[in-house]
Amino acid sequence: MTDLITPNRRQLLTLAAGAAATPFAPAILRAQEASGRCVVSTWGGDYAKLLTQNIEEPLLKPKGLEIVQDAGTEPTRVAKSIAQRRLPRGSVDVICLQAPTAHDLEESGLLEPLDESKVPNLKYVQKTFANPYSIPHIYSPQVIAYSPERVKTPPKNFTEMEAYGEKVGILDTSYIWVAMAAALKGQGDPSKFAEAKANLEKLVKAGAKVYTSTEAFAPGIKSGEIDVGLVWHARVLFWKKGGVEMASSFPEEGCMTYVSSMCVLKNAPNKAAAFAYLNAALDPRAQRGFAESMSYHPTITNAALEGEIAKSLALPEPAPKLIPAPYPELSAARDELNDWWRRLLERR
Amino acid sequence: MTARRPEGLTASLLIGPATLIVMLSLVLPLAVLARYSLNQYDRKTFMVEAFSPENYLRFFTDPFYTGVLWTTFSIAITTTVLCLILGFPIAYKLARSQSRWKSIGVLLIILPLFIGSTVRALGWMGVLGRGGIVDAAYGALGGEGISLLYTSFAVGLGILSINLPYMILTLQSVIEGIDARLEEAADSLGADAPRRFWHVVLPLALPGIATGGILVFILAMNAYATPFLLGGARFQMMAPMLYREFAVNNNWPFAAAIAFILMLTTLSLTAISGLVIQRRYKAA
Repeated sequence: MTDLITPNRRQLLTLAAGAAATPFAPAILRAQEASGRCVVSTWGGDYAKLLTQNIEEPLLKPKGLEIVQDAGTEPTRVAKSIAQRRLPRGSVDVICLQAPTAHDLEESGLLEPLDESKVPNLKYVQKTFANPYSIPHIYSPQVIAYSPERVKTPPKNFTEMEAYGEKVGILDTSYIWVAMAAALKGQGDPSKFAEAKANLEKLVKAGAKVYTSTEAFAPGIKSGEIDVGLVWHARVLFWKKGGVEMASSFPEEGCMTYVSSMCVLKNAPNKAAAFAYLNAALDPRAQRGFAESMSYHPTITNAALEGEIAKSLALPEPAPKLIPAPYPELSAARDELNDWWRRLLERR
Repeated sequence: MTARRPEGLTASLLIGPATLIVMLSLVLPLAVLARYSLNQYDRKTFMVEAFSPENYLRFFTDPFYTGVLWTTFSIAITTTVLCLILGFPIAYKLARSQSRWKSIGVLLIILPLFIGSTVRALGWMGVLGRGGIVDAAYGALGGEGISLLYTSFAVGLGILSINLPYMILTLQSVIEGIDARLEEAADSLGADAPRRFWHVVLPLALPGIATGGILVFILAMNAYATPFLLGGARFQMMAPMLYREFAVNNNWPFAAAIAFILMLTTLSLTAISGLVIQRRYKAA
């Protein structure tokens, strides 16, 4: 009995250390909590594979986190999250979304607010892409892709690209980004969708090719079906790697910028693990990994690139203005725009 | 009576489990879908409980959607007629063949069914697209580049190639069931070949034509991969439109309404054609 209540030197030291650490308890607790299973809702394919290679295996597994990927198309995963919104504990911790969709979920009240106390690496995020509900994982500017073989003077802006008429390629899934690029050039504001409709109508009437899959763009350029089109710079670099003669021209009015985001759902079963995941995604090693394998730009300021990848991802001088989509305006106009676009295509 | 009761009981016991499975896996989801089709769509909350016919009204009052239904119907009916015209001679030849090559002929018809419709559509893309076989051949003959891809012709051709084997196999089995001696009898009574076909073979093959036609028509009405890949963004058919509303726009109520409209249109057209053919068959 006396042994139990008489503290020895070691016990006293432990107690003192414990008392000294009390003010830091939340941080220690959080670090300890980031364990167990983390379910990541993501696109399948290369993106999912690279999450495993660059974030999960090297950065989270050593910390004892078990990562489960729930792969699927974005609308399906969004539908699932909305369907589970009333459950106190959902089945997903982290959800990977395009930035406009992340904004939609935030408006629906589904996302957990983020700050540096939860995701310390947020302090390195480039200000253009920062927001309080998601982390920008990777980005890529929208460029005018062209065939250097047939296009001797690369188009410098949307108007010059538009002049290619039937030789312009449009990705069906990204038509809205073409509309924003047109609005940016014509109105100086990418949210002036109504004014940009005329540009797209002109292009479609001129016989511009509309591709239902992103992959169909490269064969279009290769076969000479199209000469130019607006796509992500990362895609151009990817196709070039695959042997397609293609080059990027950065529009002088600025580049609409694709951002892939990661968010934590309010009813995530393991929030500590989810924050740890987001923090790891903003780790310079993970960001460089994505740049090297997928040619997407890092979204943080402390992931300087080197060598060949730095050269291929380098933006021209003077650096083009990178413009994320006007998310609230896009969200409000999207349904009407989708309907208008379908009808425009049908009218031929 | 008393001897029949156990038989009835046995029959119910035998069909009971199958009926239960059909009820659970087909009727129940359809009922849920029917309920969804009366709900309303909201971008933020996804689906709002309601009891409104607005999704159906939206479809039928908008020429855009009825136009898509009409395109789907015309493609389906054209490919069905073409399947019949092209498939009948092949099926007849196969059915009446005594050659040892017959089984190889049947195998050649079945073989394309081993390849999924998406892969076959991709094959057609290589044939019809810019830089494809047709384009290259046309270029070699001195013509300027030609692309048949993303046209109703490409979609029709794709669906025809996928559905033709179903028509041939159905017709072949029916024609094999027609006694060859009936044709010989017609021959011996002085009927020439066209007369023999119109008055003997065709009336007897009508049930097979009906079955094959219905099968091929349903497949064409519901085609997804072929119109999506060969028709492109500018060519609209019901199944790809349904998929887009459901999986891209997340508008489940409207997608459910489109699904019901497509299903009911297909079912009623099938039922009508079945009735018409049955009457003709009886008359024949």
